[in-house]
Amino acid sequence: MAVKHSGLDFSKEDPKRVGVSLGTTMGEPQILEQCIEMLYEADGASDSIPENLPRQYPCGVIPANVASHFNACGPAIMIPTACAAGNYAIGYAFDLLGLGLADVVIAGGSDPISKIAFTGFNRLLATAKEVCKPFDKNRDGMAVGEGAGMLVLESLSHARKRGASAAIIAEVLGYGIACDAHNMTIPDPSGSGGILALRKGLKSANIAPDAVDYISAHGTGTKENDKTETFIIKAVFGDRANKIPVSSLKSMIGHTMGAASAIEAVACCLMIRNNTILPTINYSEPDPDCDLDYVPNTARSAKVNRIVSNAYAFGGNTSALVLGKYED
Amino acid sequence: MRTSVEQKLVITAMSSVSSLGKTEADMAASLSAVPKTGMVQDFGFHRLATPQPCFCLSDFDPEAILGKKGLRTKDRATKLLLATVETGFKDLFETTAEDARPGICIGSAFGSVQSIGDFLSDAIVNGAHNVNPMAFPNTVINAPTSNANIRYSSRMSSSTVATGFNAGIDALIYACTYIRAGHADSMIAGGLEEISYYWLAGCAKSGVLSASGTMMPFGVDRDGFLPGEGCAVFYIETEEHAAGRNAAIIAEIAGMCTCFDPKLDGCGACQAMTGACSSAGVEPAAIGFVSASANGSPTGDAVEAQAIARLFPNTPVAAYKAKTGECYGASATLSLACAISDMANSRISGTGAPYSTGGICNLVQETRHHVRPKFALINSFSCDGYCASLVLKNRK
Amino acid sequence: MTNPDIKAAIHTLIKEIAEDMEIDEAKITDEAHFITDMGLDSMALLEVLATMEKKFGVTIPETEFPNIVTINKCAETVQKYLDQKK
Repeated sequence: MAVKHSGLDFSKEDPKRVGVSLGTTMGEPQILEQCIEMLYEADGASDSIPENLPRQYPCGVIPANVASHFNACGPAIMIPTACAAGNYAIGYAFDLLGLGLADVVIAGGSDPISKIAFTGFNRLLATAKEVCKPFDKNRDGMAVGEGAGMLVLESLSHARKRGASAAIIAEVLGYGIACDAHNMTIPDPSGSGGILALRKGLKSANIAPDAVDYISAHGTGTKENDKTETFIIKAVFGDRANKIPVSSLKSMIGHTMGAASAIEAVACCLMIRNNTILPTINYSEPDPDCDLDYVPNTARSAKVNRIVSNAYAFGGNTSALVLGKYED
Repeated sequence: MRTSVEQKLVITAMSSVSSLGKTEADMAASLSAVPKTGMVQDFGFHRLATPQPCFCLSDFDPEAILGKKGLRTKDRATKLLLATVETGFKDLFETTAEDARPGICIGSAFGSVQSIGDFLSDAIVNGAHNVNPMAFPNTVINAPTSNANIRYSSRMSSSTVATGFNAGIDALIYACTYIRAGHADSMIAGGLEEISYYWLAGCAKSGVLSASGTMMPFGVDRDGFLPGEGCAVFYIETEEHAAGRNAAIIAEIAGMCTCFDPKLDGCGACQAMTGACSSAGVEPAAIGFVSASANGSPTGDAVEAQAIARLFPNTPVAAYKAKTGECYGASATLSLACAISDMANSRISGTGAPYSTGGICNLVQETRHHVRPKFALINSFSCDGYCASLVLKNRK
Repeated sequence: MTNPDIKAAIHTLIKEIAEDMEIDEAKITDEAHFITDMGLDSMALLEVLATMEKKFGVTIPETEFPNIVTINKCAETVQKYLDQKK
């Protein structure tokens, strides 16, 4: 769909200049689940497992399938940095284009619903009982989800050359990645990794904190993430923090794992194009620890020129993607 | 920090743990010796139908290297990475201020599929409501890398790459790309893969293992591979950064190319090899030896041999996988470590016991001594379509 | 009366976790608060809860989680649900 939307005709492209950069958390967990279930059903005998099934499991097959489908012969990569993977993949694509190593990169993230993630987050008491309510005082966790978000990134010169300037939806201005280096599942309460990623992102994009119009939060709806993320935003944006709208799209689509920040990037591009800020839904009671403008429940018209999109992950992996309105 | 695809990138430290040993001296000695294999069968929740010969670690004692603290809930793959990083880079981390410590990027096809599969198995056997929550963090593929970031308080970056057989080499290329894009001056990067029930069972089902229990890259009688495991990690920095801290240069990554080949017909292999040479600014004839990706695959080895014959008709070819086994995501990084070891010892290590190749390529079977190649080419071509090559320049 | 086996099991696990985190054994007492006195984190509490549930075959609702902050309180909670089961 993204490729169709871009209007690219791959028969006219040099395949060596087209790359693929994807992210994921679990990859193809359902394949491993199927194989193991079959093993147990057959008391350990593996005869019933189809010969070609196991080879479809390693998550490297995902970019390989995309690259094969589009005959993309440039760099192809899978970056499985869990719930921040989308941002990492888009960031790598940005670097490939910036260094002239590709003209076009299909970038994004995907994750199917997985028993591992569902079981795991439940065992960590991190899942919401009813709905996901990011930043709300009574929030009680995330809603495990699935999905995919894809973007076609192209160098400006290439877009101009094929007469596609008018079709540009938004611009990737830069990105920052960092790590809490604190704990595998608990965010650093001092927000070190999130603050570092945000600052690096702004620096990479060469924009001042003052220029940011909207922040797409990681906003999973857990007590810890939302509190820490609020702290991170205040640390970087200072007094201006509570004037910048912040919303969590996970309130609407749940936590789609490795796809999350890619889907959020797609949404951010559309927010830029439509000058509309999407809300945090299910919001009813403010939390003193989370006291920013979370765009509660209703979308808002606003000039949206510069967006920062946060994404954090297990392991303390942090990221910030900076998107902007394309100006000639 | 400048942005430049021209910036020189050098390796100033390295460490590896594999069936070849834990130190550079072990590796050098093992490369001259007969390949060492072991047998595995039992993996806790599951048991292979028959014992599988493989290039597994022997006497791997993570606590002896890492101490006891903080290992209780870490899985074997993570301990393997931590042990490798501890051996090679503990001093580097300890003598660098926390806010200046390099980031880490590790390539692994699976992370730890043993942990992932066991988590699922535990849920089936004991019920999902009884699964240990502490086992969940080990199921994310970036767990080993992030655990290294945590242990060494490395905050600059933490990345993981998972392009199957090419995961390790692509992690090195990711690190180089990241540095050249101006985000950092240096990064610790490498490859990691452990032997696991699920990988071995999957290989057996897919028919890629050697039925004859042999590892004969390019051999006429080759019938598949023997699995191996290991971890190889390198400190990559810009030449300026290395000079700024008076670091001795082990080798230079003079060129690189990563690409994809949907047809698996050798075009990708040629593209990667010529791309790497061209980015290094060297002609193919300048390459002193090629470290092949070949692992005993009947089709894969033939495709690589043809591509090498086309571009490097007279160049000696080393097949380190004869000594390491097929280590999946770690394979190319282990081959890189072997190539660096050989360069330091002015030799090209042979495959060991001779076998017929039918002249398919100029395979080095008996070790060649007193050779001082200036450049080596490290290949990694996978049956998934990923192709990558690195040009290594001797800086000693 | 709390089954001494329950307390012993909790104590053993806490000791194991504390050793791994290099927490002084002297801090491990029946009334010490896991987080504020011993320096454990929320993951450790979760592990204790999950391990006791599995070991004693009980299901402890999430609402009890804020209560299991000392060895004594943890043992009492497990005993409560064990008794309910009978």
